[in-house]
Amino acid sequence: MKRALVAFVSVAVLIGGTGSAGWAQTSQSAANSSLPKITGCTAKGHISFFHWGDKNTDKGFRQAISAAEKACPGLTVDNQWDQGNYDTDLKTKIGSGNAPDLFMLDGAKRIAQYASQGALANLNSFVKRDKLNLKKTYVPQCLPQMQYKGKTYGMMLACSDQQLLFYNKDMFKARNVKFPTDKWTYKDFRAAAMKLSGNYSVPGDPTSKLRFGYVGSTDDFAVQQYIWQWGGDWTNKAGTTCTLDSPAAAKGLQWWVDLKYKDHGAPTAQQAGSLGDKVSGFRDQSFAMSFMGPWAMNYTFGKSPGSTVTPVKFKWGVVTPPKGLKNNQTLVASTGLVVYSKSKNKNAAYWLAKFESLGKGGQVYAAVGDDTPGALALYKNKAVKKEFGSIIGVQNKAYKTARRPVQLLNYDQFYSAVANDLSPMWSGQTSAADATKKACTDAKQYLNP
Amino acid sequence: MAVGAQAAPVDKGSNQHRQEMLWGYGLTSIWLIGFLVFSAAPIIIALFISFTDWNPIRDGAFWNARGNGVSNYKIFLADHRYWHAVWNTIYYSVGSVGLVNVVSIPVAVLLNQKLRGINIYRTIAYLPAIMPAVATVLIFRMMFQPSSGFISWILTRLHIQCDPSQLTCNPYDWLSNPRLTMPAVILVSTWALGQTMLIYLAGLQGISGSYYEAAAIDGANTWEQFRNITLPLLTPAIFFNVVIGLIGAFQEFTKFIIWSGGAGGFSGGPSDSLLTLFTYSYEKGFEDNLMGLATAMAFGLFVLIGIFTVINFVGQRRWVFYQEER
Amino acid sequence: MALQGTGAPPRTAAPVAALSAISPKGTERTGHSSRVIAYVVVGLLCVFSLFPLYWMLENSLRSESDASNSVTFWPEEFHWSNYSTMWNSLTYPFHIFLINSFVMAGLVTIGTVASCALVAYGFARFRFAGREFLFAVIIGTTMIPYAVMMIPQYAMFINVFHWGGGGSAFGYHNLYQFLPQIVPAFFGSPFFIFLLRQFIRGIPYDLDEAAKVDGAGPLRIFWTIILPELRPALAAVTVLTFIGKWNDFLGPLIYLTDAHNWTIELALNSFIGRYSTIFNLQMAASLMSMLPIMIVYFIASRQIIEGVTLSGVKG
Repeated sequence: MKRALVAFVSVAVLIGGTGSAGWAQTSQSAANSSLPKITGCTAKGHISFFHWGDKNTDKGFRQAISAAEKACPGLTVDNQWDQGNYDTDLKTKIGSGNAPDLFMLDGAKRIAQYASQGALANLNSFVKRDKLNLKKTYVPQCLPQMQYKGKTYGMMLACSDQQLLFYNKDMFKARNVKFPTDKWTYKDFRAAAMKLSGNYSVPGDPTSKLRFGYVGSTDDFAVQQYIWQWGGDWTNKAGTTCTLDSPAAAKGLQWWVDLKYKDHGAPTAQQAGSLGDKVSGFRDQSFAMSFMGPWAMNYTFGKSPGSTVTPVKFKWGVVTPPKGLKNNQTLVASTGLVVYSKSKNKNAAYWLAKFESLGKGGQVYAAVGDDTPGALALYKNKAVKKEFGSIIGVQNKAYKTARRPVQLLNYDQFYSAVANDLSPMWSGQTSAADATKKACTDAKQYLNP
Repeated sequence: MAVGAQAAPVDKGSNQHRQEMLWGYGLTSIWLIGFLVFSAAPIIIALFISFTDWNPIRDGAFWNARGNGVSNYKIFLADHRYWHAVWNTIYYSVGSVGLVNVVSIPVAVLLNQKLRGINIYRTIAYLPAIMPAVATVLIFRMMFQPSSGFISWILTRLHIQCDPSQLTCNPYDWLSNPRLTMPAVILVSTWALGQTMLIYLAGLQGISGSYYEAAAIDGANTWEQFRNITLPLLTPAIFFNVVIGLIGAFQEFTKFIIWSGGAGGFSGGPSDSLLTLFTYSYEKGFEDNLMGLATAMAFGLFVLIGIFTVINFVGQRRWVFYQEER
Repeated sequence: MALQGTGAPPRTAAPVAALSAISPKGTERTGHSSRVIAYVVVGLLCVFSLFPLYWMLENSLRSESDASNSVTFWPEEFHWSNYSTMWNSLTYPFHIFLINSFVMAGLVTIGTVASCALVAYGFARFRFAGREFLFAVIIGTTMIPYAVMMIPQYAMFINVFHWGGGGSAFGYHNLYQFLPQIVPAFFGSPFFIFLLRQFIRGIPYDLDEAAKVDGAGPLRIFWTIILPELRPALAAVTVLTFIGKWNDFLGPLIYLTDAHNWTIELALNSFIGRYSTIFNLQMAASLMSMLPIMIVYFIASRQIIEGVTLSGVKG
């Protein structure tokens, strides 16, 4: 089965690969790449490392760090951890000129942002010194998120598709709806969502309550994917013009607003408050479908070894996201380990980053399974296979149409301005056309220069 | 204010006098040093920063920042979000101070009655005023949840809104409808009316009982007594509460940050309906790293507070009634 | 309004002034039927004040889906385990945050009380050139909004004093981050200096004179005569400073960037980020942040009211 998939996938890459050169397939590339031996430890001294995640993630990092300290006796590491307020705290730490030597950073949103402000160390010379072939080492779909203007700033810890369609089989059965397939279009999605919405009970939750077909996420990743499916985007490729107000983008968003307010296949903003988000609401069986990444194994289903979340009682499945009017591009995001530009021990920080993403640390971290790894070779790791086996195949299919968010140097501010202006649209008070027009006026100031 | 005994006069130039001077300077210098370091120096730094484009991530320390003249002031004066924040700040301040004061006066009159256990009632009524703002907002956010909250529950029972358990029902959305968010925040501010109420209570107790006795002889009923005696004699307290209340409300921060989803997110809430001058300045400074712009904006808030305080002091002559000093 | 301290306890100004004037007994006389109405309305007022707190307690004991889906006034089942779940749901267990809050508020209180009492003593009992001017400056500083001071103070603490940030420079537990919160408190707080000065001026000067005749120096007079008389006022300053700093959010938000240093208010803030829709745990955590304040208040409320009233100072 696996071999068949690899074969199928390789053919698909050969056929469809012309447009997107370098979109190699994870599992295929994994077959002929192996972890570089992290030997000749040159790291010495004391460095600090800062990460987000839950207790399980922290456990993984603690193990990875003690492995690193064992492999490199001259190195000691402070493990600092923050959940709930990571981005703000990190910003303040950097702003005060005294940030950790090595820290985790969101590749899709923030690496370019921090790199452009000079907060991150350029790792090119280290990569060159170690003769690392990044394209063969890391999942190529995510690699550009580690780079800005041709320089590499991050060692990739995780790479994943953020918008895989997870569904609750019990709810589909209760409402007599056919399970989703990889060939689904938005029409099928809408029809199913409408049928799955209403007051009913499921075997695992016998109380009859208001349930919906789809969560109706309105976060930044969801918004971008909604727009992409209709052939739009929120900015041009360089990120210098706002195109959120283009007809395609507005149409894409309006479809999702209508799903909430006209079709009642997803909760309206007013109904959503009590139903939970794409994780908690899906766990509660308030929603039959939710777009999530492989991280759902840990945070939603509690399937990771040592996960702090209790496993769900219902049966679930996962497929690639449905196809929109124009295409079915799907959003990939990554997590990088980046070195602080003012770090006094960049060599040690880089070594630890390499160790944690590629070396034994990577294996330890992969065993905890917060997200699918960034290093191709780790896909051969038993723990990774065991945990993400059911997802990797689907993810690889989705990777064929993988797309990255535009590298905006003020991603957070841009999205915050957009979100503010889209909020009346999501609560049904203005049309997508009006909301996007206003969003472009307000977000203009945060475009790339 | 009651003036206490003054220090006894001493002969100038005497040894004793010099000693006293030394002690005076010594003791007050504790504050003076703190003032110079923690207040005076920052004001000067603030002026400096407001004329630069200091970005701590890019520039490091503030003295490395590049000057950019008055452009920060130009930027925010031309920013329609800033003026929206000005409007929200005034909306909230006037709304909450007005509502809290209107509610507090009858409450204070009530708590001024001779009732059994009145101290317990006063203690309970004042309690919300000292509750931490973060937790308070969390409680009320939960109560204001559009379909599962307590407010929604009441509105549904009173048939003011549809039944949220129906698929097509859209209940009042206190948390994301930009027209309802600010009224919700203002309504919640009445919960913590303890501060204001206590001032009125103090004011009421300062009113001599002889006024009421005289009015009772003239046959004035309770309402007339309240209208013609209590209210006019309470105007100094009203004035004090309005001035202090407005200055405090203009600087409300925690409530808005938490109400719009916690720090680290977007400070403005839905459609910027909860964006105030303080939270906007914080957002520019600590989220967007535009410290110069943020400082300039804060001076804008300073000016706004100044304008309102001056209006209050000028306007008071028309309506504040001062009792003759005893 | 208040200054110097970061975050500032501005709201504490009003109650001291107000409480001071409250005598324990009411003044207005009322008839029988209106008394009944008064009791009913007072009852409603108490319900209004206490219901949100009850709501918090009640929902903190319900299951996650019950709390987010329905309204009840008595828990369907008592989920006491919510508290242990909540306790361990953030980076560090909640007692770390409680200890941080307690130590920070405690040190700020000690600093404020000690410095304000001494400075007020200096202003009230010693004559020196420029005294009235300096006092006017104190009153003036209460008018500068913290919004204006926030960034320059940050710039100074971070860039000049290097109190802040994180990373390896100061080791793992970067306790320097607490300094911007605590140190300014040791240099007095304008409003409380003003208040205590008024108090000290109310203490008869004859007592000082008598002590002076006995050969007591200024510090001895402060210790044996002023402090005992000042005790009710200091009690009020203590409680209000402690509550004000415990409740402070903005100051800690700016400076305490290590999760190990978070106060309970910051922990609550991160709770929203992490568990935005898990209401039962949110309410349990909220209760944890309120409980210490409620205890302090119920122990000390009488003392504040009586103490401040006795000394007869009016704002």
